[in-house]
Amino acid sequence: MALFGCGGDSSPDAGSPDAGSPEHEAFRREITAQIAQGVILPTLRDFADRAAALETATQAYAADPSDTLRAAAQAAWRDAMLVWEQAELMQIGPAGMGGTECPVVGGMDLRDEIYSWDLTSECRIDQETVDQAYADVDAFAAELVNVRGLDALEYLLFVDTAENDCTDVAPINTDGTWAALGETEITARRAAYAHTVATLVSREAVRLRDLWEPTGGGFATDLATAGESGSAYPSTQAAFNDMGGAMLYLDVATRDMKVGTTAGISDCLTDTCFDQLELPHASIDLAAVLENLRAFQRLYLGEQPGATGQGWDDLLVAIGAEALAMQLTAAIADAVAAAEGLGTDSLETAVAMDRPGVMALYEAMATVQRLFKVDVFTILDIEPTTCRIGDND
Amino acid sequence: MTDGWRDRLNAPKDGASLAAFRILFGVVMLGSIGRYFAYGWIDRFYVRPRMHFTYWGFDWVQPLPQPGMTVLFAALAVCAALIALGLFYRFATVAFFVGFTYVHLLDVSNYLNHYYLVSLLSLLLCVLPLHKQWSLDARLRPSLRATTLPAWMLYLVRFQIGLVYVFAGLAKLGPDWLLHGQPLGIWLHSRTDTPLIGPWLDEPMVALAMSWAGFLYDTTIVFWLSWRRSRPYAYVVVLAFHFMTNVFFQIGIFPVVMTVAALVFFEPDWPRWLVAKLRRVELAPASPSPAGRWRIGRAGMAVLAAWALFHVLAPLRSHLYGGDVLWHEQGMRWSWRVMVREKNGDVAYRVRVNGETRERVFAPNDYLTREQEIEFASQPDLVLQLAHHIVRDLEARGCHDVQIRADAWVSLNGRPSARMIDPTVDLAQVDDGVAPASWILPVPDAPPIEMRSRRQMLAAR
Repeated sequence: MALFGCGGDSSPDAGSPDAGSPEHEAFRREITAQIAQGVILPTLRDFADRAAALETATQAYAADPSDTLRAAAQAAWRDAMLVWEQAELMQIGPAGMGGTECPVVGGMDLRDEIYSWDLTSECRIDQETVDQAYADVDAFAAELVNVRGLDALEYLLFVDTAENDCTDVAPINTDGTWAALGETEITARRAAYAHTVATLVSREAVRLRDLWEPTGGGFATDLATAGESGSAYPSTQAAFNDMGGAMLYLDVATRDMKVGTTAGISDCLTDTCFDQLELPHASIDLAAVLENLRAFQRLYLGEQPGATGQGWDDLLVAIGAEALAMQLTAAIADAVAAAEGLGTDSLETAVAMDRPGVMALYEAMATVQRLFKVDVFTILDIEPTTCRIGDND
Repeated sequence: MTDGWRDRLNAPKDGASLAAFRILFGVVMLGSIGRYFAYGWIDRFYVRPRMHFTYWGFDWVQPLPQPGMTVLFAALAVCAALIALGLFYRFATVAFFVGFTYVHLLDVSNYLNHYYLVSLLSLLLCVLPLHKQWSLDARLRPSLRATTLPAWMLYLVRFQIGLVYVFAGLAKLGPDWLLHGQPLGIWLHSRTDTPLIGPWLDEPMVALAMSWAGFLYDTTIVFWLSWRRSRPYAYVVVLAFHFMTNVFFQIGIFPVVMTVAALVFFEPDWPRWLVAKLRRVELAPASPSPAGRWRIGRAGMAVLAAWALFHVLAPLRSHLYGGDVLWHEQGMRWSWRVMVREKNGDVAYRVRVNGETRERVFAPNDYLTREQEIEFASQPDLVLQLAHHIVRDLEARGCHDVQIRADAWVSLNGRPSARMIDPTVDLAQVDDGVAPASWILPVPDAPPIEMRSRRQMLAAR
């Protein structure tokens, strides 16, 4: 945590406050600049690089569907996926929700183009494997998002069976087209399909990164100069609202859906609901949760731990909520430690080996979200949606 | 003495200001209904939710299946237009009152003070013959025409509107508002990008000064509007005040409603005076029309007194519960506590079924829309309602012996979050009602957040 206004590495040259701005506004802009240029943009650059490496690895695997090249493609997918798990909490601007109902500023729905969990449909992927629509990459880009994102790739690269995920009455089973393929052909098709999907993911990753680059679409500059003329954000408050809304991912997706439901803690009437696992084939669900937490930490602190930067914590300190800032910093560290302490990448394994530890992780995330969603949102008057949710009085 | 009062209440008053009120009310309501169509609120508030929070005793009020709700809102828009035009006035006012009140009884999470005010004013319109002049009804039926109305009608409307201001002022009479400048300090701190005045909005003294100004405005504006000498200046203040609230807050039609409503405190002939001024002609006094069946006697006075007494006492009922109404919310609604709290909450339910000791957590977002979730989390009776809904849902899914407890954390005006509901209480065993709720925990002792001034912030650099 950096003290209020202590330089740090947030360059005042790049989208920094102008000299005439009131102190409070200028400081808020220092934070949005740091988060844009020090946290989100580096993450998107990193992801674009890893998505390119994934495309290369799947190209090799498609050309030669051997176990060795499959393992290399799986490793490349893991690298990309875990970076994207950080970007999941950065769904503002082009990655965020577009449309007319509740869009974020600059929202273009690009997140779903890259990763469509929890819309993934494995049966649909199997149907596409039979149809081979993936053979035409450009045409395949028009398919529904749930057959061509990182989630589809996980299935294509990691599924260990030549069976399909459709019901017996699905056409590919009733007409015998799936059974006619045979194991070798299925492997080959899945490898080719994976390459198509990786190509599309890489394209979207580059597109997203470029939309943020100051030399491209310039969304990082929009966020860094929120409230100034020319910025897509009409105010710094609008920027904080969008960032706060994006960080609620940790509450709804990470805590409730990824950990709570699958581990049988929440919204699951049986002991566990592993059919709800986020990444059931790669078994890195817990690693994904950890990356979600680290992303939350980076966004909140505006920095990597140990490095200086301006973040939400500094804003809280500046307005007089030091205790809350420290409490939340500690709570996030506790949650990260709880996830790391489970000592595995697989949530299923963690539940089997250390159920109390998983429960502790869930509770630690609940504390983080309570402090963020209740205390921070109240003090900073965060309205985490741009949709007109109704009047007030 | 009663006769004196009766004569005063039945004295003829120029009906022009109430006719203007009718017209403006209809126009503002037409705009208000139009916003529901423009922003997709009909679907979002009344069609999409899988459950609705009902008012105590009104759980039988349910939304119409689509396209029923859309048709209803279209009908309300037509009624609002008819009220403004003064055409089929009796039908339009009754239909508008019934329809508008029905809509706002559908879901407590949509409650707003100004919707309650609109319901009350439209009920008054059902009773008062405000179509006797400047209406198509009067043009079509000459026998209806009258340029004066008994004074009690004007006083009744003034009373209803004045009450909002006075109670909104009294609601601010507390340490959060007057000593800590909260929640205004929180709201202003996040609006430092406001043109011109933004640079000063993060100063706690500004928030405190504006809090006091708001308190004094609400508690005294009726007096200043009622006194002829101060009235023009007071109305300028009304315009400025509501303009500011409109700039700062997402407050919808409330500023417009109050700006229009405040005109009833002007002389009853002000619209004709204005027309005469614009036409540069002499203002002709209204010729008194016989009060006829609108003249009230003892029974009428008793009804008026009962109405007034009810509306004075109802907002005060929160004091019967003790504690801080902004926290426990018992007696909060229908008491004109306008914009006095910044409150956010987080609720999770811990559920046990079938006699098991294992607890499962249920998140509200499985049952609620985002809009409902934001509103419900800080209102204890709504937390209880959802608990009961979850119990019914689980029982329908074959579970029995359902126990449900709430982890409900709330922050009020920047206080550190605290539990609002006793986590040991099985809410399945708690009945909803108007009795004091022992399952709601007391407001935390901590004061609201003391926000730093710019000078202090600079010193920290």
